[in-house]
Parts: sequence; C-alpha cells; structure tokens
Amino acid sequence: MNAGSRVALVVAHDGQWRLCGATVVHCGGEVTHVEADGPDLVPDEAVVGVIDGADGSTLLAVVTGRSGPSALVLSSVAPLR
Amino acid sequence: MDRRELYSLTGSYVRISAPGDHRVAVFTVDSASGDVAVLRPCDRKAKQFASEREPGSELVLSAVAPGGVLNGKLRVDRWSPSQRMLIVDNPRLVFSQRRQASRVKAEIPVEVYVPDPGEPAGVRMLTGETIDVSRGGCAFALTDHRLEEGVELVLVLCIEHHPVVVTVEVLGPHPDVEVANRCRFVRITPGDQRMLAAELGRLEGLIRPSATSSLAAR
Repeated sequence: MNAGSRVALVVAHDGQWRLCGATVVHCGGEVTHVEADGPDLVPDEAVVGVIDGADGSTLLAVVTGRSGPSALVLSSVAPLR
Repeated sequence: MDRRELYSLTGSYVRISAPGDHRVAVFTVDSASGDVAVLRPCDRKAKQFASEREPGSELVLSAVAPGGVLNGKLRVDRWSPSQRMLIVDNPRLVFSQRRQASRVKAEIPVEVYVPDPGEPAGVRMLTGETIDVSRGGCAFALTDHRLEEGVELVLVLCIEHHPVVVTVEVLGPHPDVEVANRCRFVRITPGDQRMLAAELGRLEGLIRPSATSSLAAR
C-alpha cells in the first residue's frame, strides 16, 4: 500500500457498514492518510478495513482525525499477539 | 507448516470422513510404514464405511495429538474384509496448535472482501456464514468458493446492531466441512473484541440451557 494506491474501505460505524473507495495520500508506520471518494462517507471514530485491490494488502484502522471533509487520518490497529 | 508422521498415531483413534460427506467414522491406526498405513474400524458403522470405499478414493483424517490436532488427506488402496483392515497411503499430516479460546457454534452472516483489480472498487464481496466462532478466529462457509491458505483478508462479522470488522489470516480448509474455511483474527479493535466476547457469552448462554434441558428430558 503506497501513496497513490487505490483502496477500498469497509467502514463500520453506529451499527452500519458500507464500502467506499479512496486513494492513499501517505502511508507510514501507524498512521495512514487517505482521500475518500466523497465527503462525509467516513465518520469520525469509524472502524475501517482497508484493502489494496492491486497488491492484496490489508489494514485495520480507526478514523482519528481529518484535514478536510474527505481527507482522513487513519490510525492502525495493532495485530493480536 | 508443521508436519507429522501418521506413524505417531499408532494405536490412537482417528476420525475419518469422505470429502463432502459429514459422516465421520472412527478408526485406530494399526501401523504406518513406507507408503502404506493400516486403519482398523472401531465399530460396525466404521466397518460399513470402510467397505464402501473405492480404491483410489480420497479420505480426510483428523486426530487429537498432544497440544493440537493433526489433519491430512489419505488415498484408499483397498478394504480387506477378511482382516477387517482399510489399507491406505501414508502421507505426512499437518499439525495445528490447539486454540487458546473455546469455540461457539454460531451461524453469523459474514462478508469477505477479496482483492480483485477487475472490479470497479478493486475488491469482490463474498457472503457466507460462520460455522463456529471464538475470540481468536472463526470457521465460515462461502458458497462455491475456497480461499487461498495464508492470505490476509478483511472480514465483517454481521452481528446484529454491531457489525465487527476484522482482518483475518486464512488457515486453510475446515477438516470436517467441505466448503468451509478456517481463519484466525489478525487485527480487531479492543472495543470490537469486547463486543465479540459479549456476543459469544450470549450465544453460549443460549446453547447451554437447551443442552441441559435436553439431557433432563431423557
């Protein structure tokens, strides 16, 4: 998953879930920045499964901030031990 | 992948089924050496099962071993009615560590997202339902679809009022159910972990009283 990758987001929040598209802006360490395909598709604190359709990589994260209506800051969930 | 010899099960009970058939027959391993292993049916049902096997047909074996379970696929050589022996090949078996969390039988709808560059969203959604669930993983059946072992996927457990999104690693096929996949949870949020534990507790509570009442009715 790299900057510019197209990804699918599985977004779960408030008892509902949906699928939407996004583009990775920056991917590094525990924080990933993505630009969702539309504003208000992904609420704050939503749990998000991220799938890169091109290389098959996945990520589980929580929306912890945003710098615009569709510019999301995702914080990775640590793997189970 | 940890592999073990069938020889290590000599004298032990093993569960045998045919692919796609839910019936399980119990055998003991009489011997296993070179390319040949000998299984002995433990009861009339197992003897009947053995006598119906065609040479060359495939069988699925599972057995308890110290600290885990052994699974493997066998090929029938022949049934020897005079000696009451099922002669099979002698493959190496796959050892899986025993789960740290207890499983609950539950049919919870699931959605699995498989990467697919050909789809507009870059993923293809597959639907199915769980066979059993624990805090550490689950087994689920997908219609006409077997997932590749070792891949990591996003899965949604569609629990009523609180869907749980997790990333999972596919561990391989279910030993007893033909179309089912086993997986372990790789990532789950702490909140969803608590939610899942509560749901499993609720399901266990639903299962236990009925089991108790059916025993009391006997």
